Amino acid sequence: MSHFSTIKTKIKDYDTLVKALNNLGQDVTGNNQELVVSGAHGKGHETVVADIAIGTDIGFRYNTVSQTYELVTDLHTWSQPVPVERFLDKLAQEYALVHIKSQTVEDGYEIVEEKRELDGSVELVVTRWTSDGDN
Amino acid sequence: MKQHTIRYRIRQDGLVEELVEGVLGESCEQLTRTMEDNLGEISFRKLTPEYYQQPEFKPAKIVIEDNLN
Repeated sequence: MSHFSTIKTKIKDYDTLVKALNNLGQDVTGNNQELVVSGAHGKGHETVVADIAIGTDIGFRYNTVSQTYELVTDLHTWSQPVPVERFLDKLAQEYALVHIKSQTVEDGYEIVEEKRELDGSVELVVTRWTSDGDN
Repeated sequence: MKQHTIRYRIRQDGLVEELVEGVLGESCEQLTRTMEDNLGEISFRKLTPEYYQQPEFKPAKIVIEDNLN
């Protein structure tokens, strides 16, 4: 064992975000959708341009300051089966899983184990053989 | 050949625990730095005993000549 780290996932990559949303069963529309994100009663809706959209009232917009994608939505018309906080947690977990799998495979690792634990976490084990002296 | 293993535990809230096994010295940090940079930010890090071990090296052969005769 060499080190142990805890990493807080940040949603930074467009393609990984789209893939994670798809894996969670969301239909996603691509770049620069006009999104209606406020006003539940049909009049005076404000529109917000988002980079990725789910339907017409949930979107993700890239924040150039934090360099992450942020959720834009209307909490009054939120129609997902889970509350917004849980939605974001599930997305972060799926995003991390998609990212780690593609990055480790790209680095020459093989995924030897993937299992979902009872507490809802996902255990992923990857290995790679290297010659002596090549750490 | 050496086997490097990385164990990830991706928690329900997206927090990722990463445990690197089988890599001696600082090279384990280089190994996972790309991942850590791209995925998010490190909120905790603990070095395990293996970190403090130096990678094995092969000592040069030393010949001591016996000049006593």
